[in-house]
Amino acid sequence: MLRSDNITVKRGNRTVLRQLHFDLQRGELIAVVGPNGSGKSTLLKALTGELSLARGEVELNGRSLAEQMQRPHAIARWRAVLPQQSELAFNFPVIDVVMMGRSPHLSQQQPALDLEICEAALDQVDCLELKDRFYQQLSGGERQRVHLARVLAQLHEGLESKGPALLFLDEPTANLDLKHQIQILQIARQCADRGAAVFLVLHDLQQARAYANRVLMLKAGRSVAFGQAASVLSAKRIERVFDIPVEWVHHQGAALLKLKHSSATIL
Amino acid sequence: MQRSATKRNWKRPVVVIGWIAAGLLLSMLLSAALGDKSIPAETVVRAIFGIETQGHAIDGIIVRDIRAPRILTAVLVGATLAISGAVLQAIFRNALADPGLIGVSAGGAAGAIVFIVFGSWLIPVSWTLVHELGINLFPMAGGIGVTLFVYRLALHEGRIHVTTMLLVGLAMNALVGALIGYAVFFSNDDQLRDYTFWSLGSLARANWNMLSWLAPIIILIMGALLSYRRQLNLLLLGEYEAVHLGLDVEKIRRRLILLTASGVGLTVALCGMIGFVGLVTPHLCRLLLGPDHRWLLPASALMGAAILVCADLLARISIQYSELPVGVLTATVGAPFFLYLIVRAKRQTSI
Repeated sequence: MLRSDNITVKRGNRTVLRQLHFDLQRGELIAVVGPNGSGKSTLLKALTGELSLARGEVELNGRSLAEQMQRPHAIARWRAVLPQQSELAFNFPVIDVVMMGRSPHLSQQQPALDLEICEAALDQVDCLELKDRFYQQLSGGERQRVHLARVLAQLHEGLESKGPALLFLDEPTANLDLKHQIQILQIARQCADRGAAVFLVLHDLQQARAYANRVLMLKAGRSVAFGQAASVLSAKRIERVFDIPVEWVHHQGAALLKLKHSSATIL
Repeated sequence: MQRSATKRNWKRPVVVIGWIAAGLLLSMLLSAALGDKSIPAETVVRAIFGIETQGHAIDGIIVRDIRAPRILTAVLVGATLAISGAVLQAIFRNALADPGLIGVSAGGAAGAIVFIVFGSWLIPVSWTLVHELGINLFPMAGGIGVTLFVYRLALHEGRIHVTTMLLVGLAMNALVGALIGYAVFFSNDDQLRDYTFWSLGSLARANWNMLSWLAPIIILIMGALLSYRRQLNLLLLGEYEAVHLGLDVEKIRRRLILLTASGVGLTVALCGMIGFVGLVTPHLCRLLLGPDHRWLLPASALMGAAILVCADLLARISIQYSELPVGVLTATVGAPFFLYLIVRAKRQTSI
């Protein structure tokens, strides 16, 4: 569904991503991990067309992204992006913010049906009771979940009819408490299980291992490893890339990351 | 529950917009009746429908040929300024954007002055049509140029840098001030009066002839702006977010800037710089209706019209047998309001 063909991205004279080559299939969740400044968010921006490429090409459904971005409306029907932080200049009611996610579909649907879809999406992120509140009165975490609902409403058709659906999430757990971190990751996982392709930038390595099919590990703009989550996230590689001595411990089927020579667990 | 939600979404805005429209009509009638010569309401209504009132023929002429075109011009100009303010605030994603403050009006004035000073050298006076055309096209071009310039400078990685936006607007206003200074230095008495008129803003030159071609252009611009009401909501989410929701941001923004700047430029050419209507009106409408542009745009247009009609009325009646420039009045109310917005924004640390 998504293919990154040897892409290189420059900011000014500095090369921030170098020759990244990978693909994302339907029904698959890929997590991108790496230390700060390794280019995770830059990669997401390059894949969504926000940054232009110095070399290489991004393909969506076998066709060049740059070419398809000429008509963003067609892509918006089945591709959604949840940015790290969204601002909203003026104070809309929450339901109106979610309804914005329906705008690529509005021409073919009835408002009542759109409203139903949006309420279902809000319910899914545990925010239905915020429906009539105003956006600027929400906490950071609530805002993030409202935007997730907006994105889910945007992809409703793709997720329901198993049509194409492509979802980008840029560190969606950053502002959230534990409960809602798990909730968002579970929703992302569900989307993949229902046939969507999900691309996720993630900090937490345990979460990456638990929820992703495949993991792409970056360091200084280069791909260190790409493959099955468990094999990419080996203790040795984490030690080398993140410069911290760790080991995996297995407890009742769960894999936990632990600091070597210490009883503290990294969470 | 779902039905009540949709119903609630429609009912209140329609009622509020209805009240604003009623207020506009009332202010228009009031403005037609009051002035250096007060005219009874009955005569005003009769004059509007073209019925002569026995013994009050002059009153009828005053209403029809002097006040009516002036009031209608105030309606068109006020509506243009307010709706342009609302649209610019959406494009710049900031409630402090105003055609006057970010330099659109200044660009329009610069265009007008450049045409007056240089146009008369280049074009023989006998080419009246070219003159008519130029005096309207140059302010439009000036407005568009300055807006694009401010936007380019304020845009950084897809986000608008608000301080830059306001400072560039300030610089543009200063530049135009200098330009006016030069023009004043080299001008004769007649031209001097014209420049003063531009810098202060006034509706005194309104007449039916001017309205006959102003009205269709303004209505076209207004209609075009209204057709973008949904897209403007998406723009508020952010540059890239709007693209990801299927908006061709680059194209839409270009069109919106073109439309608002030509509308504002045109009003500047005709009535000079009338400040702050575009800043205050959308803000008041947002207080009443919320930020949804489907309602905000028509409400702003109507309220902007009403505000300018009232301001013009005040300008006419506050000094007997003379009048204040209306721009002076709008600035007197608007500038403190702008300060209030800045202080409030500072408290929210969003500037």
